[in-house]
Amino acid sequence: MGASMMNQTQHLRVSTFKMYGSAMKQRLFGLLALLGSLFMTMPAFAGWAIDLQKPNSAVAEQMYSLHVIITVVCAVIFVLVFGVMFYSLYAHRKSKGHKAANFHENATIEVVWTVIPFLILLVMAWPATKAVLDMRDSSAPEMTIKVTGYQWKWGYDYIHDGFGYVSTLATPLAQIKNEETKGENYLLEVDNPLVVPVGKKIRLLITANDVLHAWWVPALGVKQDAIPGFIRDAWFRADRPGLYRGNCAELCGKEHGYMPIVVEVKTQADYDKWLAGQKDKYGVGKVAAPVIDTKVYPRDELATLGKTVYESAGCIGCHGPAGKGVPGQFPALDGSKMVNGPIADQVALLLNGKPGTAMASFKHLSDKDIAAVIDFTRTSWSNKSAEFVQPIDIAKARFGGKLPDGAAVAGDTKSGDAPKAVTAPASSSALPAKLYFAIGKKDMPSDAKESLDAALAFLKSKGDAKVAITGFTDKTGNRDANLELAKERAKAVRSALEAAGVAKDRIEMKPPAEITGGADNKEARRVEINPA
Amino acid sequence: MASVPHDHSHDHAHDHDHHPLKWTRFFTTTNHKDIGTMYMWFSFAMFLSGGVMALGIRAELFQPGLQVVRPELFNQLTTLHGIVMIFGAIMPAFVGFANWMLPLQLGAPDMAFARMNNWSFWLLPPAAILLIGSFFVPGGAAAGGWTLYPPLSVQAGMGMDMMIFAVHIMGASSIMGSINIITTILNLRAPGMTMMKLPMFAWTWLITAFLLIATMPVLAGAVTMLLTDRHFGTTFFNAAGGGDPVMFQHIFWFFGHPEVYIIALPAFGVVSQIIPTFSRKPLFGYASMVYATASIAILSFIVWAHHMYTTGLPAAGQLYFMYATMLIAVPTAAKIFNWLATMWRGSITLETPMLFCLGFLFLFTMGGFTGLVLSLTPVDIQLHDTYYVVAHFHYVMVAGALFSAFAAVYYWGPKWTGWMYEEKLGKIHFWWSLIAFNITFFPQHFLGLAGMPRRIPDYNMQFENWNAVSSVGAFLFGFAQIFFIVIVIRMIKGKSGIRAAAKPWDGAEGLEWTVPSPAPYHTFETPPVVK
Repeated sequence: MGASMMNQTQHLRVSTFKMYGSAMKQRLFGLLALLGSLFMTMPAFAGWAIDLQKPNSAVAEQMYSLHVIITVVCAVIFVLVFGVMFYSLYAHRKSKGHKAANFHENATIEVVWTVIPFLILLVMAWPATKAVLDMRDSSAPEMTIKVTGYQWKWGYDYIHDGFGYVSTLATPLAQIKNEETKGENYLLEVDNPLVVPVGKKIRLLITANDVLHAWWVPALGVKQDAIPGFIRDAWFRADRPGLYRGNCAELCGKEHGYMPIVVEVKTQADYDKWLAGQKDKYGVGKVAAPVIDTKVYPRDELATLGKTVYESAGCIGCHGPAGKGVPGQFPALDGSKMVNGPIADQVALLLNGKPGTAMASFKHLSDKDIAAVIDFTRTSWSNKSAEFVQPIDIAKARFGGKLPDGAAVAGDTKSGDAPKAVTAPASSSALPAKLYFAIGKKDMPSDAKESLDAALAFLKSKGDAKVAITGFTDKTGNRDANLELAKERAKAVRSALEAAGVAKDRIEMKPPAEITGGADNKEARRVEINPA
Repeated sequence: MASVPHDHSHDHAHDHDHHPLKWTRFFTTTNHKDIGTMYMWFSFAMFLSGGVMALGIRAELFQPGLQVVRPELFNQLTTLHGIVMIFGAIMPAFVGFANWMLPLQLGAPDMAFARMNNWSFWLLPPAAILLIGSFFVPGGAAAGGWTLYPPLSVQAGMGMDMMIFAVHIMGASSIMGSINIITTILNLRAPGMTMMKLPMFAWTWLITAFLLIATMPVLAGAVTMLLTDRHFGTTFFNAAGGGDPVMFQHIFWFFGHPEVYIIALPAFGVVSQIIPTFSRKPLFGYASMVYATASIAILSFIVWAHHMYTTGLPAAGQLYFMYATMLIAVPTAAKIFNWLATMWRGSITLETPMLFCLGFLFLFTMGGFTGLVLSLTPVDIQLHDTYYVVAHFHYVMVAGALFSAFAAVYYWGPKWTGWMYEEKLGKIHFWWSLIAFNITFFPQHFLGLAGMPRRIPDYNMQFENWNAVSSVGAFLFGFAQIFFIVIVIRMIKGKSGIRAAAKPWDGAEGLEWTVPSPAPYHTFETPPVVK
């Protein structure tokens, strides 16, 4: 990162100016930008950065060059205007014996200096408009990720791949308190970065859980507020692999400065490998029952682990190192009724959060971590609660009081590595299943078996569940023919399910759905099976 | 031009007879000069409080890591610094100038509603107590930023309620002040002073007062909804109950953007008085100045969402607000050109008020240009909520408002006190402020460009150097203002030894220079006649 910071001055790239139509204009803007970058980068040494970060997406490049152009235009006007002022201050001084003229009006010049700025603005508006339209065009994404802002961490859900995780600050507290040397990526490092493939149009669906946040990665040219209760979208297509860092950009409370964003852009091959690993880790597509940690741990061991969890999972942010909270804002845990009261309430609070407050759900933590942190709070400071919990109690609480049938039992689950599948019956995470048909064809694709099996497994695992089948199409070509084809494909899927022994009344047919995108978009040729 | 009271000494004695000298004088006064003076002292006290908060912020940001304040206090400081400076320091300062100078400029004996004038001032100290006192209640002061965005502001402690009530009170004070100013300007002008003969300061205040009347109730509505969301179970800004957090931002900025011009326009007025004086040449393009001021005011109502580009406005919305915002550059540029043309071929001297006006021109233009940079939506997406924006609005606010307020104090101070200030000290104050201001805020452009968000107490080491520079500048700037108060007190005490003439500036025009310095307690008891 440090190296790329230093290099950020070498930003001028001819490709930046591709988007401005004619060669003439290209040359003009190119010249202006060149001037600007010379002017602006002269005194740039490491640690004295004075310019926008080196762009890593087409949109960020447009932002970059727009900024250079407008800054140069402004600087030139500034020099001209104040050149006139300083000349006047020099030449028209009383001390030099200058006698004041008495003119105070000139309609011509007033019209001229109204019209010229207007024309300059018109010229500027053109590339800016183009950039706005590009920036806001999130259609036909190749991948969609849901981003959720929490106080104070980010959640990333790979919604089509069936898994998600939370990303929190990785800088140790000791560095913030100046007790340790600060690392190079101080406050710009996280435990789990967002991972995306290079060159793919990634669409982000951005929302928040509690208050406003803003997801901002300068190099990718994305800054979008995360608004609780609403979903906004943004997109980027990274040009080069690497690590790209940013921050939450909207004040979100006291730890606002401590919720960085790191995006790891991988080559497609590396990404595929990573994706497979993640799916494996989170048990995506497996019809396995959740793994439950049934081991009974000594109370001290859990409490010791709990201290680590308390400090790393974010508890300490609001409730403080001494459990005192912040009076009037965040409740104290030391001597709290919740922590010293019935333990089931505390377990429920950690699993579900408290709506309308900063207390988010912590169910993404493992059973053992949740048990540990509860045991830690109940034995720390002045708290001396007799009650304590084991990981299995948390698992039971997750499933409404008893373990689900057929839950596999393991001695230990690696801390912080909780299968997210635990939070929902694993069998449904295989859905939605997608079947991609050949262009113009309604025959079942050759790889249909996997998707059908997923649907069958889902129906088998839940005796009363139903599935819904939706055919998709896009807006190219004859609409009626497209819709007809989508229906026929959906019917083919229904027949296949019926042939496999599924009762008719467990299958719902949905009307065909239209999506935007080019003719070669395979998403427009899919049939999707969802839980109904 | 005007009928000056013939017998000065008699007038003065007569005046003393009626001077209420009791300690209750300042509570009960209805005299526009007393009230103007109180506004100014109040504003200066708030300016120092807000300044101390700013120095707390800069001390914490001097180095990466947490040293001086905890993050929660840091957020309280940034929030209160904004509110205190805008509502406590800048706006009352210009209302103070208006109180003192408008009746003198118009040839009126006092403001139109003298008792309401007293009330609009005395609402301010309770509001200030609520604001400053909120630091000492459980949970501390409001910490959601001066923009008070929900849901964060709904989450906060009772400091937020105190802030909301303070905003209500200050809003009521502003509305009353505006009604007073509008009525005074429209009804109490001396015979012969037509609207197109109004001094520019009166014109800009007239337009500003309309802006205040139009926007303050909007802000009051927004914070009232916040209050009921907090305590009475409404969900105006909560999606879970059918509300929308972004709606608050629309309402807030419908007030907030005109507010920028509420602060800037009276400053334009001051500058439009001072530059002609020291250029010894009439203001260039008086009529176009009036029209430019009015068009800026009107445009200010239709650009509010340029503060909200990152909320996810649709492309059409972003484009409209971008075009409208860019358009504001046109009348603003016309004003700058008018001032330059006023100086052109004048006979210029550089006394302290003129220096501050030139500083204003220089810095305000710089802030105007960064505003133009920010008006481009795609650029703003990168720069929104970064230190670039912090630099931008300090160039506009500090240069636009504060520098012209200093200019006004040096320019009209002799009229208020009867003594000249010490020219050498004034010039030192100017150069000290100008240099320290630029050391503080120019590097913040770089910080924002390089990617440092605003409102964070701690940052990566890549931002370390410029932050250190900026903090040093901030303390220098702070000390310069201690120096300023010394200059003002020395002026009041007549340390320069130079008594101010009725018209201490040879190039000055206007009725205010026809009364003696210091201006007697009662002036223009019979209206002067303007040709």
